[in-house]
Amino acid sequence: MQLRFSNGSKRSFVRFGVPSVLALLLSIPLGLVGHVSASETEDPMVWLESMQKAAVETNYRGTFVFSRGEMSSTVQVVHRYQDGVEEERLTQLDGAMGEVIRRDREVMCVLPNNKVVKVEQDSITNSVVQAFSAFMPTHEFYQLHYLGPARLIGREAVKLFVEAQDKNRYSYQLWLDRQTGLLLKSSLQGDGAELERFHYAEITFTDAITDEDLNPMSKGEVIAHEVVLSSNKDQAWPGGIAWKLDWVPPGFEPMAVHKDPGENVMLYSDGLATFSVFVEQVETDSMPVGASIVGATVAYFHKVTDGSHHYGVTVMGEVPAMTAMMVAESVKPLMTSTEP
Amino acid sequence: MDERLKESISALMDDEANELELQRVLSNVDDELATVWNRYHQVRQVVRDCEPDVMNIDIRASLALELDGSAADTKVPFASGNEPSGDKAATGITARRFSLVKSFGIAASVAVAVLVGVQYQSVEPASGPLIADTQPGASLLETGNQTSVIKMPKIHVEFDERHARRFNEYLLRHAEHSAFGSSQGIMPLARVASVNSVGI
Repeated sequence: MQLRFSNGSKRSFVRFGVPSVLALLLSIPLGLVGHVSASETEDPMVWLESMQKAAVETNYRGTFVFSRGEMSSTVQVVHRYQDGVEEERLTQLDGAMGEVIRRDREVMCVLPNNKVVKVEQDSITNSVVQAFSAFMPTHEFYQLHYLGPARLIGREAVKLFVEAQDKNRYSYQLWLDRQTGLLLKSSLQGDGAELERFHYAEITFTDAITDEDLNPMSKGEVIAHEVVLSSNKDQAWPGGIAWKLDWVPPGFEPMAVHKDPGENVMLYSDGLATFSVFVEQVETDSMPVGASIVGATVAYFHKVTDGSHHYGVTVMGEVPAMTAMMVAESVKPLMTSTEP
Repeated sequence: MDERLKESISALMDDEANELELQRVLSNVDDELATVWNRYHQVRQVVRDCEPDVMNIDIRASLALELDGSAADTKVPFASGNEPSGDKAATGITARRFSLVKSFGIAASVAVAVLVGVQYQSVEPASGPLIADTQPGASLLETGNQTSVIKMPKIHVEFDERHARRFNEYLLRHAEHSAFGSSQGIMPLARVASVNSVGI
């Protein structure tokens, strides 16, 4: 951070810096801002809104590195927003070449062996869009700090700190491109440790993106299509019961909850973090009970018995393992089975 | 809390407190001071663009260690094993009488390991044994005279192929739901694209 109050002496940092730090903590404007334009505001909320808009509407190609602890992966990305449709291609540059292709609301993975994996389109995706837009983190659960200007990959940027106010969510350091608002770097932190880091190595903002740029790069014929069922719709299996969560971490709101028979997917968000709750038949290849963790992402698997039927509850998202566990264990049938 | 006290805390953090300021802080140790101390530290870490490595410290534990002069000799195992500043800080204590900041460093490491380590699970394999020993049931935690039962999640960080496939499948489904219109932008798909084997 470039401290405005620093007058050069080392000691002055804290002596004079504390009031400014307090001001940041309390989100009080520092009063030193002369004029405010889109790229000069110091209001972190304005920057977050700008980031959200830029993530959708900016055209660019670039390369980012995504790290979880000591594991990191380099990914090339092309993003286009045209006629209201968002398209994206992410290509792994390390190891075998896998790709993730997104066209509007459809996502598919092209595996190195040319197998294509798609998520079955479900109605949840449609309902999510409206719910999410304009849902921003609130001061009650995140303190937003504007930490000042920065420079990243040759571009002017601003740095924000989004500080979690309880143990049910993580804190984020975010670096946004000053000109466009696009997220250039983020560091997700839980209890002082960095769990996940994302940063661009290079980026070019350009409108010259062709359809070809967005098609899979994989050569050869697609050999198989595999559809991942978005939820268990087997009507023979008693999946047609509704479920409730007895506990949701404060600040998390349902973005989409399905009560249709067999549609046992729920999505929650606090404006920044999200988690999904899946209730399904217990299968032989279910994950082991407990929290499976990769970087900042946790999948907590828990078994529920209702009458003579067994269900598997999976909570997946970017929340602490303890939180995911508490959510998973709070999942109950809305109506308890009447079977003996 | 008055401004003079806050300024003394600042000076202490800056390693420039005089004896008067030190006494002022020591005689005012309470919950509020501990809170302010922690806040300043967290913010300073962020401001310095470092990993916050001194979080949630019980200042009383730190001070107690310093005051009975045992900090430099105290051997406390670090749960997380990533506190490289320990030795350096210990030297600082013997060399400088009022170098509380440095002694806070070591005491803080102890405090973090003891106080925070038991409440939260690191995902680093280094802390695996702590967690691996934990049954999916409950673990006992001694806190003063009270014994409270805190249920700890069982943590898996190494997956076999089948486990990884299932995890990736959920990752993809979760990403598809959370990718649209959320403030996370590209992050959900970046998480999918950066796992070793994309998708399933």
